[in-house]
Amino acid sequence: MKRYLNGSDFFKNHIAPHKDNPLSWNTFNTRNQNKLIENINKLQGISIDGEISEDEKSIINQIKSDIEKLIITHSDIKPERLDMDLAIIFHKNLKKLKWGRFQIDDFGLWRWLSMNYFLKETFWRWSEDEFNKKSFFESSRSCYQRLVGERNRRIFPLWYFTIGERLYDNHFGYSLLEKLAEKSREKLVGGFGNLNNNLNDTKLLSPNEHVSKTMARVLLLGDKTASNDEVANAFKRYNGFRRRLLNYASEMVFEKEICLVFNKKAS
Amino acid sequence: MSERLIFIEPYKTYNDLIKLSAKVYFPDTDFEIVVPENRSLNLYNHELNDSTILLPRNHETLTIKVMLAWKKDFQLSSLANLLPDGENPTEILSFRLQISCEKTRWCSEQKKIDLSSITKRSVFNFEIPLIEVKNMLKVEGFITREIDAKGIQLNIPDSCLAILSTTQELSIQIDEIKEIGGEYLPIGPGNTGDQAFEISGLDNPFELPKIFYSEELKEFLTRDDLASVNSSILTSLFYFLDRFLRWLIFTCRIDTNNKYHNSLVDLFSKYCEASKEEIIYLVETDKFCEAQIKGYIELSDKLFKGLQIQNKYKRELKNIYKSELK
Repeated sequence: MKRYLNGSDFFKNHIAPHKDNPLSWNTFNTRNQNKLIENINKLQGISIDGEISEDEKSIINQIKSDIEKLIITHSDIKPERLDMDLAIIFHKNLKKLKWGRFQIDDFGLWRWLSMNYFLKETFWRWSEDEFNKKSFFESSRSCYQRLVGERNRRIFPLWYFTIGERLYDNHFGYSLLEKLAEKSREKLVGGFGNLNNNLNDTKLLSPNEHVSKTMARVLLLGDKTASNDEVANAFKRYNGFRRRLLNYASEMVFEKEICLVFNKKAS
Repeated sequence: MSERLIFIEPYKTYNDLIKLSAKVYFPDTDFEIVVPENRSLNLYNHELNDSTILLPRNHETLTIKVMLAWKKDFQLSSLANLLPDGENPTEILSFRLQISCEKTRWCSEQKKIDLSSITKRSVFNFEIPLIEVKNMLKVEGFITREIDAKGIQLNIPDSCLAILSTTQELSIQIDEIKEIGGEYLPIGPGNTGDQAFEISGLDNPFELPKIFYSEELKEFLTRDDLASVNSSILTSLFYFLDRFLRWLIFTCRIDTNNKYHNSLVDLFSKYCEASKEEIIYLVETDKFCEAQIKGYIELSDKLFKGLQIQNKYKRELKNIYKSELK
Protein backbone atom coordinates (compact mmCIF):
# COMPACT_ATOMS: atom_id res chain seq x y z
CA MET A 1 0.00 0.00 0.00
CA LYS A 2 1.15 3.54 -0.58
CA ARG A 3 1.50 6.05 2.20
CA TYR A 4 2.03 9.78 2.60
CA LEU A 5 5.26 10.60 4.37
CA ASN A 6 3.88 14.07 5.14
CA GLY A 7 2.12 14.43 8.47
CA SER A 8 -1.17 16.07 9.37
CA ASP A 9 0.49 19.50 9.78
CA PHE A 10 1.57 19.48 6.15
CA PHE A 11 -1.98 18.96 4.93
CA LYS A 12 -3.36 21.43 7.43
CA ASN A 13 -1.03 24.11 6.09
CA HIS A 14 -1.77 23.36 2.46
CA ILE A 15 -5.36 22.26 2.10
CA ALA A 16 -7.41 22.84 5.24
CA PRO A 17 -10.59 24.75 4.34
CA HIS A 18 -10.84 28.45 5.08
CA LYS A 19 -13.95 30.36 6.03
CA ASP A 20 -13.55 32.87 3.20
CA ASN A 21 -13.64 30.17 0.52
CA PRO A 22 -15.45 27.23 2.07
CA LEU A 23 -16.57 25.41 -1.06
CA SER A 24 -13.04 24.57 -2.01
CA TRP A 25 -10.11 23.70 0.20
CA ASN A 26 -7.86 26.53 -0.79
CA THR A 27 -7.81 26.03 -4.56
CA PHE A 28 -9.09 22.48 -4.59
CA ASN A 29 -12.38 21.33 -5.94
CA THR A 30 -13.37 19.03 -3.13
CA ARG A 31 -16.26 17.31 -4.82
CA ASN A 32 -14.14 15.67 -7.48
CA GLN A 33 -11.84 12.83 -6.38
CA ASN A 34 -9.54 12.89 -9.41
CA LYS A 35 -9.19 16.65 -9.32
CA LEU A 36 -8.40 16.60 -5.63
CA ILE A 37 -5.66 14.00 -6.04
CA GLU A 38 -4.27 15.73 -9.10
CA ASN A 39 -3.94 18.93 -7.11
CA ILE A 40 -2.51 17.26 -4.04
CA ASN A 41 0.10 15.48 -6.14
CA LYS A 42 1.23 18.88 -7.40
CA LEU A 43 1.82 20.24 -3.90
CA GLN A 44 5.40 21.26 -3.26
CA GLY A 45 6.93 18.86 -0.74
CA ILE A 46 4.34 16.10 -1.08
CA SER A 47 6.04 12.79 -0.47
CA ILE A 48 4.58 9.35 -1.19
CA ASP A 49 6.17 5.99 -0.47
CA GLY A 50 5.32 2.39 -1.45
CA GLU A 51 3.21 0.72 -4.10
CA ILE A 52 -0.36 -0.46 -4.26
CA SER A 53 -0.88 -4.11 -5.20
CA GLU A 54 -3.63 -5.56 -7.39
CA ASP A 55 -5.10 -7.34 -4.35
CA GLU A 56 -5.30 -4.06 -2.48
CA LYS A 57 -6.97 -2.33 -5.41
CA SER A 58 -9.53 -5.10 -5.67
CA ILE A 59 -10.34 -4.93 -1.94
CA ILE A 60 -10.73 -1.15 -2.09
CA ASN A 61 -13.14 -1.52 -5.01
CA GLN A 62 -15.07 -4.12 -3.04
CA ILE A 63 -15.35 -1.73 -0.08
CA LYS A 64 -16.61 1.06 -2.34
CA SER A 65 -19.13 -1.25 -3.95
CA ASP A 66 -20.35 -2.52 -0.53
CA ILE A 67 -20.81 1.07 0.68
CA GLU A 68 -22.74 1.94 -2.45
CA LYS A 69 -25.09 -1.02 -1.87
CA LEU A 70 -25.52 0.03 1.75
CA ILE A 71 -26.48 3.56 0.73
CA ILE A 72 -29.02 2.28 -1.78
CA THR A 73 -30.50 -0.34 0.56
CA HIS A 74 -30.90 2.14 3.40
CA SER A 75 -31.54 5.31 1.49
CA ASP A 76 -34.19 6.35 4.03
CA ILE A 77 -31.79 6.14 6.98
CA LYS A 78 -29.45 8.94 8.04
CA PRO A 79 -25.77 8.14 7.34
CA GLU A 80 -24.79 8.43 11.03
CA ARG A 81 -27.11 5.49 11.82
CA LEU A 82 -25.05 3.31 9.46
CA ASP A 83 -21.66 3.58 11.20
CA MET A 84 -21.74 0.00 12.49
CA ASP A 85 -22.49 -1.25 8.97
CA LEU A 86 -19.54 0.75 7.67
CA ALA A 87 -17.33 -0.75 10.40
CA ILE A 88 -18.28 -4.25 9.25
CA ILE A 89 -17.61 -3.39 5.60
CA PHE A 90 -14.15 -1.90 6.24
CA HIS A 91 -13.07 -4.52 8.74
CA LYS A 92 -14.31 -7.57 6.85
CA ASN A 93 -12.63 -6.48 3.62
CA LEU A 94 -9.35 -5.18 5.00
CA LYS A 95 -8.93 -8.35 7.06
CA LYS A 96 -8.71 -10.19 3.73
CA LEU A 97 -5.45 -8.31 3.23
CA LYS A 98 -4.39 -9.61 6.67
CA TRP A 99 -4.41 -6.12 8.10
CA GLY A 100 -4.46 -5.92 11.86
CA ARG A 101 -3.45 -3.74 14.74
CA PHE A 102 0.08 -3.51 13.40
CA GLN A 103 -1.22 -1.20 10.65
CA ILE A 104 -3.42 0.92 12.90
CA ASP A 105 -0.85 3.58 13.76
CA ASP A 106 0.54 3.85 10.22
CA PHE A 107 -1.39 7.06 9.72
CA GLY A 108 0.33 7.95 6.44
CA LEU A 109 -1.04 4.75 4.92
CA TRP A 110 -4.59 5.40 6.11
CA ARG A 111 -4.43 9.03 4.99
CA TRP A 112 -3.33 8.02 1.49
CA LEU A 113 -6.05 5.37 1.29
CA SER A 114 -8.68 7.80 2.52
CA MET A 115 -7.75 10.77 0.35
CA ASN A 116 -7.25 8.73 -2.81
CA TYR A 117 -10.43 6.65 -2.68
CA PHE A 118 -13.03 7.82 -0.21
CA LEU A 119 -13.89 11.46 -0.88
CA LYS A 120 -17.43 10.68 -2.05
CA GLU A 121 -18.13 8.40 0.91
CA THR A 122 -16.69 10.82 3.45
CA PHE A 123 -18.75 13.64 2.03
CA TRP A 124 -21.92 11.50 2.16
CA ARG A 125 -21.31 10.42 5.79
CA TRP A 126 -19.88 13.56 7.38
CA SER A 127 -20.67 16.59 5.24
CA GLU A 128 -23.70 16.25 3.01
CA ASP A 129 -26.19 17.13 5.71
CA GLU A 130 -24.47 20.43 6.52
CA PHE A 131 -23.93 21.12 2.83
CA ASN A 132 -27.67 20.75 2.20
CA LYS A 133 -28.29 23.19 5.04
CA LYS A 134 -25.93 25.59 3.26
CA SER A 135 -23.44 25.51 6.15
CA PHE A 136 -20.64 25.33 3.62
CA PHE A 137 -17.68 26.00 5.87
CA GLU A 138 -18.82 23.46 8.48
CA SER A 139 -19.46 20.95 5.72
CA SER A 140 -16.00 21.42 4.18
CA ARG A 141 -14.34 21.35 7.58
CA SER A 142 -15.94 18.09 8.67
CA CYS A 143 -15.15 16.50 5.31
CA TYR A 144 -11.51 17.61 5.63
CA GLN A 145 -11.28 16.49 9.25
CA ARG A 146 -12.45 12.98 8.40
CA LEU A 147 -10.91 12.51 4.96
CA VAL A 148 -7.46 13.87 5.79
CA GLY A 149 -7.66 13.30 9.52
CA GLU A 150 -6.97 16.44 11.48
CA ARG A 151 -6.83 13.97 14.37
CA ASN A 152 -5.04 10.91 13.04
CA ARG A 153 -7.34 8.32 14.54
CA ARG A 154 -10.34 9.90 12.83
CA ILE A 155 -9.17 9.26 9.27
CA PHE A 156 -12.27 7.85 7.52
CA PRO A 157 -11.29 4.20 6.82
CA LEU A 158 -9.15 3.91 9.97
CA TRP A 159 -11.97 5.04 12.24
CA TYR A 160 -14.25 2.28 10.99
CA PHE A 161 -11.52 -0.37 10.88
CA THR A 162 -10.70 0.35 14.54
CA ILE A 163 -14.35 -0.06 15.56
CA GLY A 164 -14.27 -3.38 13.74
CA GLU A 165 -11.11 -4.47 15.57
CA ARG A 166 -12.68 -3.57 18.91
CA LEU A 167 -15.94 -5.45 18.40
CA TYR A 168 -15.07 -8.36 16.10
CA ASP A 169 -14.76 -11.67 17.92
CA ASN A 170 -12.73 -14.66 16.76
CA HIS A 171 -15.43 -17.01 18.01
CA PHE A 172 -18.65 -15.09 17.33
CA GLY A 173 -17.46 -13.19 14.26
CA TYR A 174 -19.45 -10.06 13.46
CA SER A 175 -22.58 -10.98 15.45
CA LEU A 176 -22.16 -8.17 18.02
CA LEU A 177 -21.49 -5.59 15.29
CA GLU A 178 -24.46 -6.86 13.30
CA LYS A 179 -26.78 -6.57 16.32
CA LEU A 180 -25.51 -3.05 17.00
CA ALA A 181 -25.92 -2.14 13.33
CA GLU A 182 -29.49 -3.39 13.35
CA LYS A 183 -30.33 -1.51 16.54
CA SER A 184 -28.63 1.66 15.32
CA ARG A 185 -30.65 1.59 12.10
CA GLU A 186 -33.91 1.07 14.00
CA LYS A 187 -33.41 3.73 16.65
CA LEU A 188 -33.52 7.45 16.20
CA VAL A 189 -31.61 8.02 19.43
CA GLY A 190 -28.87 6.29 21.38
CA GLY A 191 -25.23 6.76 22.19
CA PHE A 192 -23.77 4.96 19.19
CA GLY A 193 -21.73 8.05 18.26
CA ASN A 194 -20.07 8.31 21.66
CA LEU A 195 -19.48 4.57 21.76
CA ASN A 196 -17.59 4.81 18.47
CA ASN A 197 -15.63 7.85 19.64
CA ASN A 198 -14.54 6.04 22.79
CA LEU A 199 -13.66 2.85 20.93
CA ASN A 200 -11.25 4.98 18.91
CA ASP A 201 -9.97 7.48 21.44
CA THR A 202 -9.53 5.52 24.67
CA LYS A 203 -7.03 2.76 25.35
CA LEU A 204 -9.37 0.21 26.96
CA LEU A 205 -6.65 -2.44 27.24
CA SER A 206 -8.46 -5.69 27.90
CA PRO A 207 -8.18 -9.35 26.92
CA ASN A 208 -10.03 -10.07 23.69
CA GLU A 209 -11.46 -6.53 23.83
CA HIS A 210 -13.62 -7.60 26.76
CA VAL A 211 -14.29 -4.02 27.91
CA SER A 212 -15.29 -2.69 24.48
CA LYS A 213 -17.60 -5.62 23.80
CA THR A 214 -19.18 -5.75 27.25
CA MET A 215 -19.83 -2.02 27.39
CA ALA A 216 -21.28 -1.99 23.88
CA ARG A 217 -23.59 -4.88 24.80
CA VAL A 218 -24.69 -3.52 28.16
CA LEU A 219 -25.15 0.09 27.03
CA LEU A 220 -26.76 -0.36 23.67
CA LEU A 221 -28.23 -3.83 23.35
CA GLY A 222 -30.22 -3.99 26.59
CA ASP A 223 -33.90 -3.17 27.11
CA LYS A 224 -33.03 0.49 27.39
CA THR A 225 -30.65 2.06 24.91
CA ALA A 226 -28.18 4.37 26.63
CA SER A 227 -28.11 7.98 25.48
CA ASN A 228 -24.97 9.71 24.22
CA ASP A 229 -24.42 11.26 27.68
CA GLU A 230 -24.92 7.96 29.45
CA VAL A 231 -22.37 6.31 27.18
CA ALA A 232 -19.85 9.12 27.74
CA ASN A 233 -20.35 8.92 31.51
CA ALA A 234 -19.91 5.15 31.48
CA PHE A 235 -16.50 5.47 29.83
CA LYS A 236 -15.51 8.24 32.25
CA ARG A 237 -16.50 6.00 35.13
CA TYR A 238 -14.49 3.10 33.70
CA ASN A 239 -11.41 5.28 33.32
CA GLY A 240 -11.89 6.62 36.85
CA PHE A 241 -11.51 3.20 38.49
CA ARG A 242 -7.72 3.27 38.46
CA ARG A 243 -7.32 1.19 41.55
CA ARG A 244 -9.41 -1.66 40.23
CA LEU A 245 -8.57 -4.16 37.54
CA LEU A 246 -11.84 -4.06 35.66
CA ASN A 247 -10.52 -5.11 32.27
CA TYR A 248 -11.86 -8.63 32.69
CA ALA A 249 -14.75 -7.89 35.05
CA SER A 250 -18.06 -9.70 34.72
CA GLU A 251 -20.99 -8.21 32.87
CA MET A 252 -22.71 -7.72 36.24
CA VAL A 253 -19.91 -5.44 37.48
CA PHE A 254 -20.26 -3.37 34.32
CA GLU A 255 -24.04 -3.20 34.72
CA LYS A 256 -23.96 -2.25 38.40
CA GLU A 257 -20.92 -0.01 38.60
CA ILE A 258 -19.96 1.34 35.19
CA CYS A 259 -22.88 1.57 32.83
CA LEU A 260 -25.70 2.35 35.26
CA VAL A 261 -28.33 2.66 32.56
CA PHE A 262 -30.41 -0.09 34.08
CA ASN A 263 -30.02 1.16 37.66
CA LYS A 264 -31.49 4.46 36.61
CA LYS A 265 -34.46 2.72 35.06
CA ALA A 266 -35.06 0.63 38.17
CA SER A 267 -35.12 3.69 40.44
CA MET B 1 6.65 28.23 42.89
CA SER B 2 5.52 25.06 41.23
CA GLU B 3 2.25 23.23 41.55
CA ARG B 4 2.34 19.60 42.53
CA LEU B 5 -0.34 16.98 42.58
CA ILE B 6 -0.41 14.95 45.75
CA PHE B 7 -1.85 11.54 45.04
CA ILE B 8 -3.87 10.27 47.97
CA GLU B 9 -4.19 6.49 48.06
CA PRO B 10 -7.79 5.50 48.77
CA TYR B 11 -6.56 2.52 50.76
CA LYS B 12 -3.41 0.73 51.86
CA THR B 13 -1.51 -1.27 49.25
CA TYR B 14 1.66 -3.38 49.37
CA ASN B 15 3.31 -3.15 46.00
CA ASP B 16 6.12 -5.21 44.55
CA LEU B 17 5.51 -8.38 46.55
CA ILE B 18 5.89 -10.77 43.64
CA LYS B 19 8.90 -10.68 41.38
CA LEU B 20 8.34 -11.29 37.70
CA SER B 21 11.03 -12.76 35.51
CA ALA B 22 10.72 -13.94 31.95
CA LYS B 23 12.31 -15.76 29.06
CA VAL B 24 11.50 -15.18 25.43
CA TYR B 25 11.38 -17.81 22.68
CA PHE B 26 10.62 -17.75 18.98
CA PRO B 27 9.09 -20.84 17.36
CA ASP B 28 11.48 -22.95 15.26
CA THR B 29 14.52 -21.56 16.99
CA ASP B 30 16.59 -23.12 19.69
CA PHE B 31 17.59 -20.05 21.65
CA GLU B 32 16.03 -18.43 24.65
CA ILE B 33 16.58 -14.87 25.72
CA VAL B 34 16.28 -13.95 29.36
CA VAL B 35 14.85 -10.58 30.39
CA PRO B 36 17.74 -9.00 32.32
CA GLU B 37 17.66 -7.88 35.93
CA ASN B 38 16.80 -4.29 34.96
CA ARG B 39 13.45 -5.72 33.70
CA SER B 40 13.90 -4.33 30.20
CA LEU B 41 14.75 -6.39 27.13
CA ASN B 42 15.38 -4.97 23.68
CA LEU B 43 14.82 -7.67 21.05
CA TYR B 44 15.23 -5.36 18.09
CA ASN B 45 18.57 -6.17 16.44
CA HIS B 46 19.39 -8.28 19.49
CA GLU B 47 22.76 -9.98 19.09
CA LEU B 48 22.56 -13.72 19.74
CA ASN B 49 25.35 -15.83 21.22
CA ASP B 50 26.51 -16.91 17.76
CA SER B 51 26.78 -13.20 16.75
CA THR B 52 23.77 -13.34 14.44
CA ILE B 53 21.30 -10.51 14.70
CA LEU B 54 17.73 -11.25 15.70
CA LEU B 55 14.93 -9.62 13.72
CA PRO B 56 11.68 -10.25 15.63
CA ARG B 57 9.55 -9.25 12.63
CA ASN B 58 10.83 -12.29 10.72
CA HIS B 59 8.69 -14.39 13.05
CA GLU B 60 4.92 -14.64 13.39
CA THR B 61 4.69 -15.35 17.08
CA LEU B 62 6.71 -14.88 20.19
CA THR B 63 6.44 -17.01 23.31
CA ILE B 64 7.01 -15.38 26.66
CA LYS B 65 7.46 -17.62 29.68
CA VAL B 66 6.78 -15.69 32.84
CA MET B 67 8.07 -16.96 36.17
CA LEU B 68 6.75 -15.77 39.51
CA ALA B 69 8.39 -15.70 42.91
CA TRP B 70 7.50 -14.07 46.20
CA LYS B 71 10.01 -11.46 47.27
CA LYS B 72 12.44 -12.58 49.97
CA ASP B 73 11.17 -12.54 53.56
CA PHE B 74 7.61 -11.96 52.47
CA GLN B 75 4.88 -13.97 54.12
CA LEU B 76 1.50 -14.56 52.61
CA SER B 77 -0.15 -13.87 55.95
CA SER B 78 1.05 -10.23 55.75
CA LEU B 79 -1.64 -9.62 53.14
CA ALA B 80 -4.19 -10.15 55.90
CA ASN B 81 -3.43 -6.53 56.90
CA LEU B 82 -5.11 -5.43 53.68
CA LEU B 83 -8.27 -7.42 54.36
CA PRO B 84 -11.12 -7.01 56.84
CA ASP B 85 -10.77 -9.09 60.00
CA GLY B 86 -11.48 -12.77 59.55
CA GLU B 87 -10.81 -12.95 55.82
CA ASN B 88 -8.20 -15.40 54.54
CA PRO B 89 -5.88 -14.01 51.81
CA THR B 90 -5.67 -17.29 49.92
CA GLU B 91 -9.45 -17.50 49.67
CA ILE B 92 -10.19 -13.86 48.92
CA LEU B 93 -7.26 -12.79 46.75
CA SER B 94 -5.83 -13.89 43.43
CA PHE B 95 -2.91 -12.95 41.27
CA ARG B 96 -3.70 -11.79 37.74
CA LEU B 97 -1.06 -11.72 35.06
CA GLN B 98 -1.28 -10.15 31.60
CA ILE B 99 0.81 -8.86 28.73
CA SER B 100 -0.27 -5.80 26.79
CA CYS B 101 0.85 -3.42 24.08
CA GLU B 102 -0.17 0.19 24.56
CA LYS B 103 0.67 1.16 21.01
CA THR B 104 -1.82 -1.20 19.38
CA ARG B 105 -4.05 -1.56 22.46
CA TRP B 106 -3.74 -5.33 22.39
CA CYS B 107 -3.99 -7.32 25.59
CA SER B 108 -3.27 -11.01 26.12
CA GLU B 109 -5.56 -13.38 27.94
CA GLN B 110 -5.50 -12.70 31.67
CA LYS B 111 -4.22 -15.59 33.80
CA LYS B 112 -5.84 -15.87 37.21
CA ILE B 113 -3.55 -17.65 39.66
CA ASP B 114 -4.13 -18.85 43.25
CA LEU B 115 -1.75 -17.13 45.63
CA SER B 116 -0.97 -20.45 47.29
CA SER B 117 0.25 -21.89 44.00
CA ILE B 118 2.88 -19.22 43.43
CA THR B 119 6.28 -20.84 43.83
CA LYS B 120 9.63 -20.44 42.14
CA ARG B 121 8.55 -23.20 39.78
CA SER B 122 5.41 -21.39 38.62
CA VAL B 123 5.75 -20.76 34.89
CA PHE B 124 3.09 -19.23 32.67
CA ASN B 125 3.27 -19.20 28.89
CA PHE B 126 1.94 -16.47 26.65
CA GLU B 127 1.85 -16.75 22.86
CA ILE B 128 2.08 -13.28 21.37
CA PRO B 129 0.87 -12.84 17.76
CA LEU B 130 3.34 -10.28 16.42
CA ILE B 131 0.82 -8.89 13.91
CA GLU B 132 -1.17 -7.57 16.89
CA VAL B 133 1.64 -5.72 18.64
CA LYS B 134 4.16 -3.00 17.94
CA ASN B 135 7.16 -1.34 19.61
CA MET B 136 6.88 -2.49 23.21
CA LEU B 137 5.22 -5.21 25.28
CA LYS B 138 4.50 -4.84 28.97
CA VAL B 139 4.26 -7.79 31.37
CA GLU B 140 2.44 -6.91 34.57
CA GLY B 141 0.74 -8.59 37.49
CA PHE B 142 -1.80 -7.58 40.11
CA ILE B 143 -3.06 -9.04 43.36
CA THR B 144 -6.80 -8.40 43.39
CA ARG B 145 -9.79 -9.03 45.65
CA GLU B 146 -12.08 -11.52 44.01
CA ILE B 147 -15.29 -10.83 45.95
CA ASP B 148 -16.87 -7.79 47.59
CA ALA B 149 -16.24 -7.45 51.33
CA LYS B 150 -19.08 -7.41 53.80
CA GLY B 151 -19.41 -3.93 55.25
CA ILE B 152 -17.08 -1.01 54.64
CA GLN B 153 -13.82 -0.39 56.46
CA LEU B 154 -11.61 2.66 56.26
CA ASN B 155 -8.28 2.17 54.47
CA ILE B 156 -9.20 -1.36 53.41
CA PRO B 157 -10.20 -2.14 49.83
CA ASP B 158 -13.63 -3.70 49.86
CA SER B 159 -14.69 -3.95 46.22
CA CYS B 160 -14.35 -6.92 43.96
CA LEU B 161 -11.29 -6.52 41.67
CA ALA B 162 -9.69 -3.82 43.82
CA ILE B 163 -5.92 -3.91 43.27
CA LEU B 164 -4.02 -4.57 46.50
CA SER B 165 -0.61 -4.93 44.97
CA THR B 166 1.08 -4.40 41.63
CA THR B 167 4.33 -5.91 40.43
CA GLN B 168 7.17 -4.05 38.83
CA GLU B 169 6.50 -4.49 35.14
CA LEU B 170 8.80 -6.09 32.58
CA SER B 171 9.18 -4.41 29.21
CA ILE B 172 10.12 -6.17 25.98
CA GLN B 173 10.93 -4.01 22.97
CA ILE B 174 10.31 -5.70 19.63
CA ASP B 175 10.70 -2.88 17.10
CA GLU B 176 13.02 0.00 16.53
CA ILE B 177 11.57 2.99 18.31
CA LYS B 178 12.55 6.09 16.45
CA GLU B 179 13.47 8.85 18.84
CA ILE B 180 14.33 11.29 16.08
CA GLY B 181 11.32 12.13 14.01
CA GLY B 182 9.34 9.67 16.09
CA GLU B 183 7.41 10.23 19.24
CA TYR B 184 9.80 12.26 21.29
CA LEU B 185 11.93 14.77 19.46
CA PRO B 186 10.05 16.76 16.84
CA ILE B 187 12.16 17.18 13.71
CA GLY B 188 11.35 18.41 10.24
CA PRO B 189 12.61 20.43 7.30
CA GLY B 190 12.64 24.21 7.55
CA ASN B 191 14.44 27.40 6.67
CA THR B 192 17.66 27.18 8.64
CA GLY B 193 19.64 29.80 6.67
CA ASP B 194 23.32 28.88 6.52
CA GLN B 195 22.93 26.25 9.21
CA ALA B 196 22.32 22.56 8.60
CA PHE B 197 20.28 22.25 11.81
CA GLU B 198 18.46 24.67 14.05
CA ILE B 199 16.50 24.19 17.24
CA SER B 200 13.66 26.65 17.68
CA GLY B 201 11.29 27.30 20.55
CA LEU B 202 13.88 26.93 23.29
CA ASP B 203 12.36 29.86 25.22
CA ASN B 204 8.84 28.45 25.25
CA PRO B 205 8.29 26.77 28.64
CA PHE B 206 5.18 24.84 27.54
CA GLU B 207 5.80 23.40 24.08
CA LEU B 208 8.65 21.12 23.11
CA PRO B 209 11.31 22.83 21.00
CA LYS B 210 11.52 21.69 17.40
CA ILE B 211 14.59 20.63 15.43
CA PHE B 212 14.73 21.86 11.87
CA TYR B 213 17.09 20.67 9.18
CA SER B 214 17.78 22.60 6.02
CA GLU B 215 15.31 22.09 3.16
CA GLU B 216 18.37 21.44 0.99
CA LEU B 217 19.14 18.33 3.05
CA LYS B 218 15.61 16.97 3.03
CA GLU B 219 16.04 14.59 0.10
CA PHE B 220 18.95 12.93 1.94
CA LEU B 221 17.79 13.02 5.52
CA THR B 222 14.42 11.41 4.77
CA ARG B 223 16.15 8.33 3.37
CA ASP B 224 17.00 5.42 5.61
CA ASP B 225 19.51 3.71 3.33
CA LEU B 226 22.41 6.13 3.52
CA ALA B 227 25.20 5.26 5.95
CA SER B 228 26.38 8.88 6.06
CA VAL B 229 22.89 10.03 7.11
CA ASN B 230 22.74 7.44 9.85
CA SER B 231 26.16 8.40 11.18
CA SER B 232 25.41 12.12 11.14
CA ILE B 233 22.14 11.57 13.00
CA LEU B 234 23.88 9.32 15.53
CA THR B 235 26.48 11.94 16.32
CA SER B 236 24.09 14.90 16.27
CA LEU B 237 21.82 13.13 18.70
CA PHE B 238 24.24 13.79 21.58
CA TYR B 239 23.79 17.54 21.20
CA PHE B 240 20.06 17.42 20.42
CA LEU B 241 19.24 15.31 23.44
CA ASP B 242 21.47 17.29 25.76
CA ARG B 243 19.85 20.52 24.55
CA PHE B 244 16.39 19.06 25.14
CA LEU B 245 17.50 17.96 28.60
CA ARG B 246 18.63 21.52 29.34
CA TRP B 247 15.31 22.84 28.08
CA LEU B 248 13.37 20.35 30.19
CA ILE B 249 15.24 21.17 33.38
CA PHE B 250 15.81 24.91 33.10
CA THR B 251 12.97 26.19 30.92
CA CYS B 252 10.05 23.79 30.90
CA ARG B 253 7.04 24.40 33.16
CA ILE B 254 6.22 20.75 33.35
CA ASP B 255 2.64 19.52 33.07
CA THR B 256 2.42 15.84 34.00
CA ASN B 257 -0.77 15.53 31.98
CA ASN B 258 1.02 16.65 28.82
CA LYS B 259 1.93 13.57 26.76
CA TYR B 260 4.87 15.33 25.09
CA HIS B 261 6.37 16.34 28.43
CA ASN B 262 5.83 12.81 29.72
CA SER B 263 7.44 11.28 26.64
CA LEU B 264 10.50 13.44 27.12
CA VAL B 265 10.73 12.50 30.78
CA ASP B 266 10.39 8.82 29.79
CA LEU B 267 13.17 9.24 27.26
CA PHE B 268 15.61 10.74 29.76
CA SER B 269 14.57 8.27 32.41
CA LYS B 270 15.58 5.49 30.01
CA TYR B 271 18.92 6.94 28.93
CA CYS B 272 19.99 8.57 32.20
CA GLU B 273 18.96 5.60 34.34
CA ALA B 274 17.02 7.91 36.64
CA SER B 275 13.45 7.42 37.78
CA LYS B 276 10.74 9.62 36.28
CA GLU B 277 10.01 10.97 39.75
CA GLU B 278 13.65 12.06 40.20
CA ILE B 279 13.61 13.90 36.87
CA ILE B 280 10.26 15.60 37.55
CA TYR B 281 11.48 16.64 41.00
CA LEU B 282 14.58 18.20 39.43
CA VAL B 283 12.47 20.05 36.84
CA GLU B 284 10.17 21.40 39.54
CA THR B 285 13.04 22.58 41.74
CA ASP B 286 13.75 26.34 41.71
CA LYS B 287 15.17 27.22 38.33
CA PHE B 288 18.97 27.49 38.18
CA CYS B 289 19.45 26.77 41.87
CA GLU B 290 22.67 24.97 42.74
CA ALA B 291 20.95 21.61 43.22
CA GLN B 292 19.29 21.88 39.83
CA ILE B 293 22.51 22.74 38.02
CA LYS B 294 24.32 19.90 39.77
CA GLY B 295 21.46 17.53 38.92
CA TYR B 296 21.64 18.54 35.26
CA ILE B 297 25.38 17.92 35.06
CA GLU B 298 24.96 14.46 36.55
CA LEU B 299 22.12 13.58 34.18
CA SER B 300 24.02 14.97 31.21
CA ASP B 301 27.00 12.72 31.98
CA LYS B 302 24.72 9.72 32.36
CA LEU B 303 22.96 10.61 29.12
CA PHE B 304 26.25 10.56 27.22
CA LYS B 305 26.95 7.04 28.44
CA GLY B 306 23.37 5.72 28.40
CA LEU B 307 22.69 6.85 24.85
CA GLN B 308 25.74 4.99 23.58
CA ILE B 309 25.24 1.83 25.54
CA GLN B 310 21.47 1.42 25.16
CA ASN B 311 21.52 2.17 21.44
CA LYS B 312 24.63 0.03 20.90
CA TYR B 313 26.45 2.96 19.30
CA LYS B 314 29.77 1.17 19.08
CA ARG B 315 28.26 -1.66 17.04
CA GLU B 316 26.17 0.68 14.89
CA LEU B 317 29.16 2.88 14.04
CA LYS B 318 31.32 -0.15 13.34
CA ASN B 319 28.70 -1.45 10.90
CA ILE B 320 28.49 1.93 9.18
CA TYR B 321 32.28 2.12 8.79
CA LYS B 322 32.39 -1.47 7.54
CA SER B 323 29.66 -0.81 4.98
CA GLU B 324 31.65 2.13 3.63
CA LEU B 325 34.76 -0.02 3.23
CA LYS B 326 32.77 -2.50 1.11
